[in-house]
Amino acid sequence: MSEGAAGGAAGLPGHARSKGVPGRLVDGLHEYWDETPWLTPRITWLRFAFFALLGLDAWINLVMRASQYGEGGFNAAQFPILDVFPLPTPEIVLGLRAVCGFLALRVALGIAPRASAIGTCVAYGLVYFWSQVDTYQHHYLTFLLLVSFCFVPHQQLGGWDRPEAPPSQVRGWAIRMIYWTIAILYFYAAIAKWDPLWLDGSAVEALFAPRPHVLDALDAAGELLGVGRIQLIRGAAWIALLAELALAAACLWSRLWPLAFVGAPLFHVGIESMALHIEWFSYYMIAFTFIMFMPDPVVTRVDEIGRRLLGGLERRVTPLRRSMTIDGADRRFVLALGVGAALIGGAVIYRELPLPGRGLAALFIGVAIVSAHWPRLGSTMVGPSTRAALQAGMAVAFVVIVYRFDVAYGYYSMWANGLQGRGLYQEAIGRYAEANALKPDGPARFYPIGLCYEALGRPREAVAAFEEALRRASDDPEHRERIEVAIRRARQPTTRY
Amino acid sequence: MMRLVLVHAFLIAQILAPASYYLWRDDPRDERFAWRMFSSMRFDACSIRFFAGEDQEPFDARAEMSPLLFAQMREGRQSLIQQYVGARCARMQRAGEPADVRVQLTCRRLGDTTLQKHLSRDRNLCP
Repeated sequence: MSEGAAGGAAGLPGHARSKGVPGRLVDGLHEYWDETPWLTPRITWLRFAFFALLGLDAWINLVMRASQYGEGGFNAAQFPILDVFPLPTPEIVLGLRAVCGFLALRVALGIAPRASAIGTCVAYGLVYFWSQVDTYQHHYLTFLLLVSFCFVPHQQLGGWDRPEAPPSQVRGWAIRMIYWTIAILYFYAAIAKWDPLWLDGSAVEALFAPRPHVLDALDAAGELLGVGRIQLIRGAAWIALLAELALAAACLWSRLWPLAFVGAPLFHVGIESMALHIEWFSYYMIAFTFIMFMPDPVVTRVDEIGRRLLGGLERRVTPLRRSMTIDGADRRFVLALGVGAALIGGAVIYRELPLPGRGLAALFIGVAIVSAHWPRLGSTMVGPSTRAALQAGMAVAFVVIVYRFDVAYGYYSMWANGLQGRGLYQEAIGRYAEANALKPDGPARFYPIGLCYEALGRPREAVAAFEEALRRASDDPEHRERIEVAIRRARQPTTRY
Repeated sequence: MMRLVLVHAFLIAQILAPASYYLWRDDPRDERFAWRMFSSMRFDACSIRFFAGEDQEPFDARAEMSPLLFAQMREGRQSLIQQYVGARCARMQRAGEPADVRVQLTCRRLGDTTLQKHLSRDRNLCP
């Protein structure tokens, strides 16, 4: 069995052997959860991949959907008992998600990782349980993984706070629990497919139906293999079920890792290529399975290569991190650095973030920055000045990402779309206009503005909006045709559809 | 020892949460916490209509919530429908109106022509 998941536990330091059957059972469980050695680079990479993805996911996708919280004055918490909480507002959800992303990226870098992981878990969990607006399965998965990551032995992993080389192996029940969580996910995903509609291919066919590129690929494969489309679809349904059962087993039995190391990422790449609109679930699973199942010799080799390649950088960064390592005597200076970074980062967010709720986002992130500089009696801090600079830089990066990935544009577009669906056309036009202001040149939301004007019985404004949409439209003939039809329709205001 | 108990409690909770979908939860369309990615349920075609007041006037619940929540109700998630109806009834009571909200939910399974009625407008769902 691999070093990562097996590991002997004989002669455990600091743990006296118990007598009797119950004692032996407790010993066995203790060995299983607490004494299994895991390769440190694997857990460091896993932490980096998960929290870096979560940080970006929070800043891009989750911030974008904050406008949906409390819409129309109704909210449903995950459990009815939690409905006693007040209605969530887009502003507070945006603030919580901004700080969630910030803290997650701090864990990824290894800056105050345990406190940051707990903060990420709290900020994420609050919004998740507060409302069912975001109830994809991967939101639940993220929460469960966050709970486990709160208890991972962060202080032993590589990262900003650990300039010295980490030990080659780490131990901790939370690492084992991460494997269990993924195993449970795969196992029940397979159980859900034990359904006549899945096994006879109907559900898979329905899944593929709106995706002609998948059907074309299936037909090409069918021609090559000499089998029909439906046989291939049934085959795909069974393969998915069996693959998930195999991956569940691999999570708990490391002998299967070499197989899963190749198969699992490919399985999720295949799912992602089908464009199933499952947000970043595939990215999380590709990263996770690639690292989780990487055979130990490969981990060791990749780690060696990485050290060789990044050795020069490491040699330059380490003195920076070691410089001004602060002990208890300089606590006020450390705190002042944190407050300075918080003021800079907070001011940039407050001034530049083109979203409502920017004040709360600035406040939450400012508090998070200061908390990483809060002096604890007797503790030392690695490179507080560079830590402060890094954190101020991360706050600025949040604003840059919001602009770079059209997060604010998406935020206002989704908000407007919801208002339009609810028949609040005038308000929707206002939100669409805010979205368009963020995209003065590119294709923007003039087509739905035209539809709103049409619904309000204002054909002249509708035609103007449609014409602007046509001017900015891509060369896609179908899209242009749709706009042209709308223009013709709006010019005949008596026509009702 | 206590730590081991808590670790196993966390593990058992993770196992029981999806198991509850098959063992005791009574709403097959509420697939939260059950890891039912791409389950056949998502291909069911459901239709939902709301009626309120003594005259049972139909109304558009979509106007009262985020489209993301409404989409889940339209998929037939009954726990969410109950939460919405509860909020709506409370609002009617506060306004001094007779609390009467009815929901008609019908779904057709993939490949099935039979329409299944899950909630009928015959019953007032207000407590």
